[in-house]
Amino acid sequence: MPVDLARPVLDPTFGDPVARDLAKATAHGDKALLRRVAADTDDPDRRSFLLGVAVDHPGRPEWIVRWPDEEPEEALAHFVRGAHGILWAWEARGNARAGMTSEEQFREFHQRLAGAERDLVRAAVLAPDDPEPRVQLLTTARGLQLGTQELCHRFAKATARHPWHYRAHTLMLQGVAPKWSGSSALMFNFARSRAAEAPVGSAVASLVVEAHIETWVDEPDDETGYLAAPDVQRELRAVAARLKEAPDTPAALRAANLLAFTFALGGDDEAAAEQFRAIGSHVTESPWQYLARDVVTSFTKYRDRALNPA
Amino acid sequence: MASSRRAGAGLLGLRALLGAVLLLGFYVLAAVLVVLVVGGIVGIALAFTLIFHVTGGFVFWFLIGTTGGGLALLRGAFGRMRAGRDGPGGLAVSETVQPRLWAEVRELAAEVGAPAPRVIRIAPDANAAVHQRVRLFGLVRGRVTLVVGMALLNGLDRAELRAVLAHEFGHISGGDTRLGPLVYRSQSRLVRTIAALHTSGKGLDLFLARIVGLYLRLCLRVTAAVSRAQERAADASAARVAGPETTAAALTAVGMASELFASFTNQYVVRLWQAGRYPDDLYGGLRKFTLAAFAEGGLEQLRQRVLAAPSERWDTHPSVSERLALLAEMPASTKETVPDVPARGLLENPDKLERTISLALARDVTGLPEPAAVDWDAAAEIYGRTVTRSGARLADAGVRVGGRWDEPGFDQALEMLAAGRGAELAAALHPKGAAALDAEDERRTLHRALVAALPGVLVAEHGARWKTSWTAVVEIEWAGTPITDLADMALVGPDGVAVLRAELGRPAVDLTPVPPLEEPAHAG
Repeated sequence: MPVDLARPVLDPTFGDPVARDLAKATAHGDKALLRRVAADTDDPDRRSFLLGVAVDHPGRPEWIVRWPDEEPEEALAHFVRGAHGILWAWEARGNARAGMTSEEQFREFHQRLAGAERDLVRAAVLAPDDPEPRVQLLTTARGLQLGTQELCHRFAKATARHPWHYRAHTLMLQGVAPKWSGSSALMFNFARSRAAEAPVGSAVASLVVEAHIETWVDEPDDETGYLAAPDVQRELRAVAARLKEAPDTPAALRAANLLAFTFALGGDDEAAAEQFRAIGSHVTESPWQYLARDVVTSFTKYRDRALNPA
Repeated sequence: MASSRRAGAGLLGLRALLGAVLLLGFYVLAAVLVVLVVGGIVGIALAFTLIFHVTGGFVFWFLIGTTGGGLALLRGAFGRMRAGRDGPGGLAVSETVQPRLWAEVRELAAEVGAPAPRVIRIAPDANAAVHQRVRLFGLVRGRVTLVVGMALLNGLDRAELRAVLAHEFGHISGGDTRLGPLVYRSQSRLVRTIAALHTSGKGLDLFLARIVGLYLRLCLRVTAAVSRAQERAADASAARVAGPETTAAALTAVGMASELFASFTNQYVVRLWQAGRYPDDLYGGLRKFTLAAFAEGGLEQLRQRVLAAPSERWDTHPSVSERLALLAEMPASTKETVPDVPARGLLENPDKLERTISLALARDVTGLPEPAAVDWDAAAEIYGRTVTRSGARLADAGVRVGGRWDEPGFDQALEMLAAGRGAELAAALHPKGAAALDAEDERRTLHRALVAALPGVLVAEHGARWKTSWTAVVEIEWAGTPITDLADMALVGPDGVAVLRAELGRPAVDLTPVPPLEEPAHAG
């Protein structure tokens, strides 16, 4: 079997031509394509992916700040400022955990996030059938520490509009993880019940993998061998089986990255190799950022080991 | 009276001198410091040139850059001060609209020998103050403005208000308010300069801040004594007009009105502002709150607290007890007594004025152009939200420990209690976690969380209502089993939980863990 050793690239657009054009246009404040994509993309997961690319810009672009003032009745304007506000808030937080950040950083984080919440609530009111603002409100609920019950409530509202919304599920999983406002029991119950009910091929099945990674993060010592435990590996294989026929979407590629990671760290290079082949060059930030070295280096190390066994 | 005028006039020159000297002295100090700093830097640069025989220009600019060259000091001392910060606030009321208040004020001003104010403003709080514009360091008389707080008019009777006004006018008849603002402004200037130096944070600037700080302490030492002497003189003039007993009563009453207004605002009004509302009957609420405090015996405690408040070293007012002692030494009044009616009775159409002030205050605080009016009955619903929010802790713990994202947290919490897993629930509720809890702590934690959570359930599902309380802010109107009894019931095991569920119509929930994912059968 020919081994694809294409250079891995961390590309939020996954090489998708529409996503690339959208990233380029929004980088200099051109909203025309964004409007078209938001109006014409029918698949909610693809739409969620494209809107995510459109707001993924560092700092606080002027056009994003101004847009809702220019068009106060345009839901997309409020959504974009809110969704970008979340990224901007995490920029202030410096990607460290709450206990490690300084007081001012945390205040700034909180302030930006509260602004994002206001924008997203406004967008949700203006676009009552759109799951997207409600999906993003899961992140503000988590960051603003509005409580576990409120988080569950918001998840129910988001998925009432699209039951298998992938981003809604991964954001909810972060929220119910022990490090935020959840617990191990809640996180696994959530991941397993949603994965079991999801249609075969839906990336939602990979929630279980994510839950195991969250558990491993709290004891990332290789010696403990959490990911190598037979019952963990068995469940990972169950997920892989469900995702075998998954279409080639950003969500499925992220799921493959999660599986490759857990198989590789758990010592099953054969199962990992299958995932690495499906991934090709499309490395994702999560979960490789949990390792000490940079994402591409870590990914390459484990991929080479899995695809070219000594 | 004539003798005190002469004494006042004798002090006038001294005070004018003092005010001018303090301010000018600071400018001289600032100028000298800047000259020293720049001179020092030039000296170093010249020395560099002489010793190394190369131009010291870059040394000069390097030192200016790293030390700031005293620029922050210059900016603090000579930069523009924001105007209007210390001017009087409140709502101006004309003589045609409030004739009786104006008549009372004019009469008292005349009695104390002070010029009648040109403007009367009604502020929201419980203060009274006289402002006089300053020209030429206070040597020329400026326009006089009287500010009276609405909470003061509500908390004092008419005789006490007369004493307060006589006290305030006592300040201008003595001539001291003409200098008061000048002394105040020169002190603000110093404080601002120190702040500017601290903001710059450079080593040299921090050193300069210490020098200016020492100068400020000197100024305060001189002027605080002057301010306190003025205060005592104003008390004496109030005692002449209103009698020492009434003046003493007014002194305590002002302190109490101020405390009552502050605690009323904190407990009852801030939450409405936060919700974008304002109470249309702010002062009616204040009156009910005061009556309730009186009925509960809280006013006596408050009086003791006001009397016990110490005078601080830099305080411009002597302590209340010190002033009361001085008043007690004065001969009793021979004046006819003023009828014992609320000072608010001097106002025409007081309800409307109070509403206007409440709205203006809410605009000021919230920054909203049109906050929505709310009456005290409707306010209960907003207060209830705070209770509901604190009750959400039980639901959150229920979801976290019960582990179901799709069942109400309250029901999961009850399930935990029914299953004898109260300890886990308590650990999730307690900030210290499981480690610190003994059986009694555990019970207390759970009971408190249940008492906080139950009102939300009763209001949402069982027709209970929030009601504003003038002692507890908000209480629940609920005809069924009392809330503490319901909470007790939840803590006696599965049978108690079953009774509680029946009374509240809540279902049992299944908390069996979801099994791990199995490989699909055909995958082999």
